[in-house]
Amino acid sequence: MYNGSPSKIVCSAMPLGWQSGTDLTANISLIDDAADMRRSWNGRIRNFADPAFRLYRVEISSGDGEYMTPALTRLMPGDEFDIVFDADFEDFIVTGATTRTLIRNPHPGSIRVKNLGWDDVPFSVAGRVVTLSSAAATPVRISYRPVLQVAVTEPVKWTERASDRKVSWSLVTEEVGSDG
Amino acid sequence: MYYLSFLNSHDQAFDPVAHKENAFFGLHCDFEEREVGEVIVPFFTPTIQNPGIAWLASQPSRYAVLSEQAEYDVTPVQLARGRLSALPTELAGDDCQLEFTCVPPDEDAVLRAAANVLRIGEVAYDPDADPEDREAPEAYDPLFYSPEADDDPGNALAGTMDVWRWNRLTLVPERVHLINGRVQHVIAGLTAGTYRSERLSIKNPPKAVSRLRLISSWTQSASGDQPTEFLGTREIDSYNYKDFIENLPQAGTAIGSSTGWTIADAKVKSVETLMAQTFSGGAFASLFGATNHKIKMQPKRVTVGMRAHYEYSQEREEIIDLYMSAGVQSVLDDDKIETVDQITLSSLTLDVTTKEWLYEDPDTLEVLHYLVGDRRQANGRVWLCTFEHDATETFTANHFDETGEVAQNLWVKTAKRAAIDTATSRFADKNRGIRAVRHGLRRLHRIVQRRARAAEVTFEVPWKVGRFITCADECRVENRRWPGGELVGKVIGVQLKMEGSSRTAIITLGVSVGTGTAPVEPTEDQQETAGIVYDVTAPAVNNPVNAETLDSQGPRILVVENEADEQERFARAAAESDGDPVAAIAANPTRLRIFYEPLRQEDLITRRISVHTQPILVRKGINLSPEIA
Repeated sequence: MYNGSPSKIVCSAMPLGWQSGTDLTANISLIDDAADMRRSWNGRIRNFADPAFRLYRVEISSGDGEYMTPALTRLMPGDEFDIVFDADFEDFIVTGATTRTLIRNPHPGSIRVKNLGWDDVPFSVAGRVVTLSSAAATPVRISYRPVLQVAVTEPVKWTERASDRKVSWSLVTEEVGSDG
Repeated sequence: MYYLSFLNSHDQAFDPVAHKENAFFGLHCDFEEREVGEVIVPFFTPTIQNPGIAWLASQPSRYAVLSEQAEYDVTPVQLARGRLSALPTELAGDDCQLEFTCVPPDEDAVLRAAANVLRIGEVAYDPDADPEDREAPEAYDPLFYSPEADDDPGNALAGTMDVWRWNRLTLVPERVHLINGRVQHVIAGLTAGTYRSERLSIKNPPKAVSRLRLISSWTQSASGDQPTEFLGTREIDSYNYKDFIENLPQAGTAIGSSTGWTIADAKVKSVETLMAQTFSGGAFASLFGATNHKIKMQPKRVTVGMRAHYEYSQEREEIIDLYMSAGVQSVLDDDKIETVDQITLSSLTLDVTTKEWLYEDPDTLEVLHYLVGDRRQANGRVWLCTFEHDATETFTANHFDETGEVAQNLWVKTAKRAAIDTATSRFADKNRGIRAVRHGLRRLHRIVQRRARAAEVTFEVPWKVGRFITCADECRVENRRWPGGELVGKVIGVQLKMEGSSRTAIITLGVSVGTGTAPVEPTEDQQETAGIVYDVTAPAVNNPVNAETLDSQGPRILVVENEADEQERFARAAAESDGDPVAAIAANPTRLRIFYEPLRQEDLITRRISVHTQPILVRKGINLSPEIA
């Protein structure tokens, strides 16, 4: 949370501020390499891709309500940083189960656990593991904002219209992945 | 996750913890092993980020290990290890391609040593021994090689069904069968290949009958002095003994003309005086005008020792045609006989397994060092080293000191190891020849079996299966798009591509198109080697001279004319008819007539032998005429 910005993005490499982050859209997808789909000669489909490539691509772009760009000038392709963006990852716990390991680290305090009736369900968190106080009676929804380690993958660009100080910008990042 | 980590030495054990690291920023990597020629050399070519000015410095060795921890691996597993060969293969901007070959540091020497174990020289060979005892000498026959054969390790397996392969994990050479794999991978169901990756093409299968011609030629020769005297015990009584002794043939005198026989030596062993005879009554002239005079003449008994020398040589040639019919399905409607090769065997009567003596290594120019027991040929003889030494500048059997005394004996003469004795008139049906014929059949078998892998099949398999398939294995593949829906073949190529998230394993099989019918058990007239049943048709040997028995061959005619008894009769007859007994004896001198059977030499005696096999067993890897149910 930054002063003057309604966005909940947490990213020290790209501080938002007054009049920036007022109208942002996060576009989330798995990278293309996550899928290398082939069918066996019997027709069975398979993913030949290495699971290490199951990584997210996040594009943050501005809308009409944006008046200032964040500090984008220092973000160069390849720069790596952590980001908590303003969008939820959803997960669930099936009936009868009590724990779930999230696929990414949750941003502290961003986890909400609710049942189908949208009532809070008591839980505790240790790292990525969410544990309910008692086994789920109905399917339980987990919403959280993940901390992603990303790198800038496309050159940053922004447009600023001088007459009415309208800006538009976008930032494309992908998860860094591991060295093995 | 792939890891490319450098090793301290080529045989350092793989450590799943320490080697789970990347020496470079790897971009992609291809691995390949393929049966080409006689040695399978696997290699991998990782493309890395250009290491820049730091270059590839400070690696503990040139050996690296490529490993992987896939989602189903608990710890990393080794895929291959190898030596960084080209430095780099290609450098394109930020991409730098390296090439690693899966061989140990001194791969030539290692492979040569492994091959030399198989090189069996001239050994006692029994064609009727157990197949296990015959295996090694039939699989290798020095007559098919030059004395420098060990320069090329690949040729040592020409009489087997194997090729060499460097094990990509241990870097040890191993023998890999051409037809049968060590492990059978089943490519069906969960492990089925990728749709539209499959290719089947029919290459050139063997013709109905394949022929290999072996040409062996040698000079049959025999020369020597007969050990026994042909007149050893014969006593010759003669009046003109003096003349007889003086005119004894000299050593070297030809017996007859161009018969091949000469006198080796002739000597008088003893002369014994016999009783003198008195001749009278004749009116022969007297110096002093006397009448009724008598003449006394003295015969002597001579024992002569005489030995013959023979000199015989005959050019001989045996042409052995090996015909092999293969039990293959009818791929080609073609009944031709195809000659696959013609091999001229090394000289049968020379030592082809012993190397020439050399002063220095022709490649490195290092002076050679000889050990006790080394055999070498020099000056046309075979020598055995008796004292460890560095090679002398020119070949000498002894070291001499300043006074000319022998200081140290270095070499002693030893018997040559030739395939057959020089006096032999036939080859193919002797034990040694049977070995050569069987080796030839095995060579032909290899050629035919390799050609019979005529269906070449390529397909892509899931990584989990494909990454451990090697050229030592075979695959059984089910695919309803192929004739019969199923085939079995030997892996002849493996290609692993690691690029981005995509992991591709492409396998190539050589599928035999045989009928799978085994030859029937050999009958009594038939012979068998390595599962090949064959008949030999050999004409009788044209043998004008039996060279092996010349030592004991006596003269065909041995006559002593006009011995003393006969001379006496002539003398007495002359005396009685007023003739001159002395002149009568002089007119009938004792003579020796010897005649040996001539050693008839012909231009070239050629003998043609043909060997026909039963249709050999060729694996039925694919059914090209399936029954449709």
